[in-house]
Amino acid sequence: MAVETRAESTDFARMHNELPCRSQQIDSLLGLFGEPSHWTYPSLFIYGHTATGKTLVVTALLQTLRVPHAVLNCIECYSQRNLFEGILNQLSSYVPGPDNGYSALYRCDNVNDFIRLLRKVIETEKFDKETVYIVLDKADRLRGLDLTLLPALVRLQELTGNNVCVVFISELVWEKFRCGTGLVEPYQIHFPNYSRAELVEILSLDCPSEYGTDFYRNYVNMLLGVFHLACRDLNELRYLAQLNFARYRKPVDRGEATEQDVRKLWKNIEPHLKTAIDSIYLREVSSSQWERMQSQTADEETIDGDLSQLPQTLAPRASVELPYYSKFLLIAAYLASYNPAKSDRRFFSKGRVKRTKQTKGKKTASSQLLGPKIFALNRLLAIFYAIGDERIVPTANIFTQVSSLVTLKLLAQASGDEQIDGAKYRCLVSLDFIRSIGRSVRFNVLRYLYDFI
Amino acid sequence: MAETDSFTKACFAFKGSKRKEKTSIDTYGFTDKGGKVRYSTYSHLWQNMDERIKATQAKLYATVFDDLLAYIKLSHKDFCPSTESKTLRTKRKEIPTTALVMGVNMPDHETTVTTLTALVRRSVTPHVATLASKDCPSMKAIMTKTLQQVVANAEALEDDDDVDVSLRKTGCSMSVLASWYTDITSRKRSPQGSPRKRKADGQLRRLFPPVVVILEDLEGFSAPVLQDFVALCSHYLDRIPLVLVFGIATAVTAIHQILPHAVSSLLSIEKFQSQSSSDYLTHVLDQVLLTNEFPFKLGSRVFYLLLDIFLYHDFSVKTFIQGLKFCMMEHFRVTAVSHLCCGAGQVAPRVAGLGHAELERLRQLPSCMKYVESQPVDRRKPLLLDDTHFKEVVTQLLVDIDSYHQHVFPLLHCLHSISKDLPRHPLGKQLREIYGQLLTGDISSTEAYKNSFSFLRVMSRESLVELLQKCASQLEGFSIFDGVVKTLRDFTAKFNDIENFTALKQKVNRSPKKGGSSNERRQSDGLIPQEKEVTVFESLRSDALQYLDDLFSEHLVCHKNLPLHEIFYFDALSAVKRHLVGTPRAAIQTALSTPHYYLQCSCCEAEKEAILGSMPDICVAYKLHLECGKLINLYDWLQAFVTIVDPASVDDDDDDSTGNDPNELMHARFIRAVSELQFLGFVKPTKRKTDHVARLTWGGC
Repeated sequence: MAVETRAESTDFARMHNELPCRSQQIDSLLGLFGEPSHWTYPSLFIYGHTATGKTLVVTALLQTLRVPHAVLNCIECYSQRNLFEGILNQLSSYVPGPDNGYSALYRCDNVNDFIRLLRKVIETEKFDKETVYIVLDKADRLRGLDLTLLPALVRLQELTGNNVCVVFISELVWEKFRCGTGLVEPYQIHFPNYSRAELVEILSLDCPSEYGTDFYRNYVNMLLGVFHLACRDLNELRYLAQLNFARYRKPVDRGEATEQDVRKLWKNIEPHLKTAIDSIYLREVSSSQWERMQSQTADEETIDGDLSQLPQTLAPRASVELPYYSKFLLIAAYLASYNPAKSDRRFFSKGRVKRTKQTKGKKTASSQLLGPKIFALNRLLAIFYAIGDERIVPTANIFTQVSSLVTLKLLAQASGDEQIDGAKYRCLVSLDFIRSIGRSVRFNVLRYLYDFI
Repeated sequence: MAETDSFTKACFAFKGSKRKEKTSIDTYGFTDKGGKVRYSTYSHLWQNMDERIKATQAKLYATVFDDLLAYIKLSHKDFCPSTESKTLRTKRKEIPTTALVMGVNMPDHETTVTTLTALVRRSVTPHVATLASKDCPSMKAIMTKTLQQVVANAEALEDDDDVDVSLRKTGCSMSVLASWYTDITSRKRSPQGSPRKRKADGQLRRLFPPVVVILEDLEGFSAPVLQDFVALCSHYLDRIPLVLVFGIATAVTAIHQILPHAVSSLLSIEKFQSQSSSDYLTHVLDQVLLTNEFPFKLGSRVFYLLLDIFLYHDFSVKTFIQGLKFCMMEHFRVTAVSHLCCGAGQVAPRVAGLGHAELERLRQLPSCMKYVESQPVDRRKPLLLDDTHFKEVVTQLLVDIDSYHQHVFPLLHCLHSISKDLPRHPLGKQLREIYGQLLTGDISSTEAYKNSFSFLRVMSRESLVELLQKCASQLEGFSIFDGVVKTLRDFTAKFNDIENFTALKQKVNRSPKKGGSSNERRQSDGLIPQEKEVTVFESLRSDALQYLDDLFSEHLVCHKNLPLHEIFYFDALSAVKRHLVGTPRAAIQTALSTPHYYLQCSCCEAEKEAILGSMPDICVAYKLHLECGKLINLYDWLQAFVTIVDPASVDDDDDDSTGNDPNELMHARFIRAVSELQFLGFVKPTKRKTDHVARLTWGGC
């Protein structure tokens, strides 16, 4: 490892402590960075799954090394100008504020200007003896900008003639960035997923000071035992750990169990974790609401852990109350989306149904599996008038309801906005949803579905 | 038709000149004064109603908004932008988010959101931004909108400070917002000077007011934009205390449909359910229509129309209120002496000010004519001829209607409280259903009313006592019902008294209450209670119910029986329908078959079936196509078209031997008319026969 001039060795020790399980990556990055005066590889590409410490490691390293750097989140850079001006501002430690009218230091909206200004900044800030790092987090967003941007950034060192290193951080692999010409392969570093043991180690760092580390480690182990199959995202696991810890420690707080009484604690927490796995990733209740619910149930404290009666905030998830005709319109849309147009006559013609010779070849795949199909407005209205139980006057209100269903994302418009004479739609709701709607207006949807006949 | 000096055929807007008063004066031949008085009555009345509606709304929203505001206030109570003392492993923070489920009545959302914004601004923080999906198609737009609103509000708030922020010119980004926020808060902190003053926690909270971003319609936002926005917000959460409010029309699951897990895990969502629009409507009706404070009422047909629009189409209270407003305007515009539609206190002077012509109009009202006819012969003459006498009578009648209103609404509530819990709800679950029946006819003669009373007649003592108490509490507070309340309380007391008594009786009579007997009694003859085995309880019960029945039958009569009810009740269904319920297809057909209806030109005036050459081309083509079968031969159609539009050329052609092809101009006009018809969906090209088009509509000749 290179001997750093500005950073103390204690700093590195601290970093290794606070960023466990990433020593290998830290070392290889340090090796690549070298001393400030060394010329670094022009561009690095760091990739790995969510929550594998990419951004954290890079920013921590740069801060510890105290080298000139700029860190940008590419989500914010929805235009090239934002990106360039952000980099230049940060490198010259300039903050837009009321004193300067919230304007950027330089106005810069193309690559050419950027390179010129970057040279100027490096000169004025006297960075020409050391490496300047530009970190672009969520770099996959750059692909949506100008085609020449990415090649230019990769070759920034070559173009400016200064010691500049661009670090891309992304969750995608580099292959997904290859497009157009002029790309130079960056040096790639992969941040692998944490293993289970590593997860335990990292999660154990969150241990509250008033409890023993072994106690918390046990807890984390139990937690991973339940959730590791479903979820390996460190963030989500940390969230879950935080959420359920209050419950876990309750017997200890009350003096009913000791910290070593693992079995008893497991018995206590197990049903809770099992219910929590149903709502994993959903986050429909905030952590504060969840804690309140937990304390409520704890107050009632039924010893058999009856969790079937979860509070109402969790139970009814998708109940939508619609106006009467909207319900029929939605049902009509569903039928139009999932029935072949040929079968309309069979379902909806009022008079005699002449059963023509059924030319059923081989059974095609169920349309439930194929997903909703596009239908025209005319067909929707025809079915609507056929299933509506009474005589409905075609007023403008009916048409506005179609468009309000689109705004509610229950239907989707499949034709362009400009095509006004042949609007096409697609129904987005699920079979369960439409059946419950059908029940509320006493309409048996299944009887009219081609797949279920 | 107004002439323009333009050669082109296009639509020209002609600014009308004060239509409102002119029509009322010209069309109805009133004095200028009459129209003005009616207008002022209307505007006064509407103003009061509007205020009442707004107050009702504010009261209704208060409960859910209070919770929401409390949540927003608490969400960042320990916020402190301490960027320096950060360890490497920062604790992950979620953005406090409230999901406000507002129901599918989207036209109402605007008012809800406006109220919420105002409330937040008043009581929590000046930094609020309200975003609508239509304004935010891109990241740039969403940032610009947010910044503009947040900064502009703060500017407006403290305009003495010359906050000279020209954000519009510079690029708007979250970092600008962050530095602006730091600046604002630090400036607020600095004048306070000494740190001793700031030790109070509450004060610290005020120093860092949260920045609230309200997204009006979450469903409408484009998913990538919203995802980026949320990601950015969470990125800056340590520098700006952001709170998001999602306005949701459907269900909370909408959030997950739009945001993937990576983004939604950045949020800490708390759900709030706003008042259902049906409840909202009930309250508005209660405050505005079911009260004698506002003399204007809706007739049954219009009431049902507005209610149907609400229930069947949009659930929107706003639309309902606008419909109500329209009805009021129409009522005061059309009805002759509608300025008498005012509070009881103003009736006498207004009647005194009536001129002879207006009195004549009053006499011509159907209900008034009926009233005159119902009088004895000798009193008819002064009514019709003596203006002063007639004025007295009118005043009396109007006061009567007012007292009718005073009686009817409390009793309606009373009846509703009795009937809403009956099995199978014969009178409906909602008060508005009973009110609708009352508007249609006498409620006591309806089948539903009789059904409910037959249920009541077999009720047990406990539930009956409960009902009577409910009734009494409904009528309490109305001085006119003091006697009634007293009687009801007496009944309750008696029922309570007989408890012991019945127990005693039970020993004598083996079965105090036979299901069969009561059934028979109902069948034979309703209300004569004297039979052998009637207990004290039963007789008391039938007494009480008889009393209630009489009370209801006396007062809950239909307004249509009252003379001069036209002044208060508006029931012109067709006018309302024409204006509120658009029927595009009917309008198109009217336009095509009788263009005179819209164009109002003399040249197109004709019988319905007639086809004139002076009509617009498309009308001619349309009328001709009505005469054809399923397939239309284009050439025949063209010939018929030319014959009508330009008969002269056809005659000429017959003389010439050059062939009977019509000239090019005719051809072009015809083709244009046909393609317009095709655009409107009346014909479509077909491949079944060459040179034919298929008709898509039925009927015609």
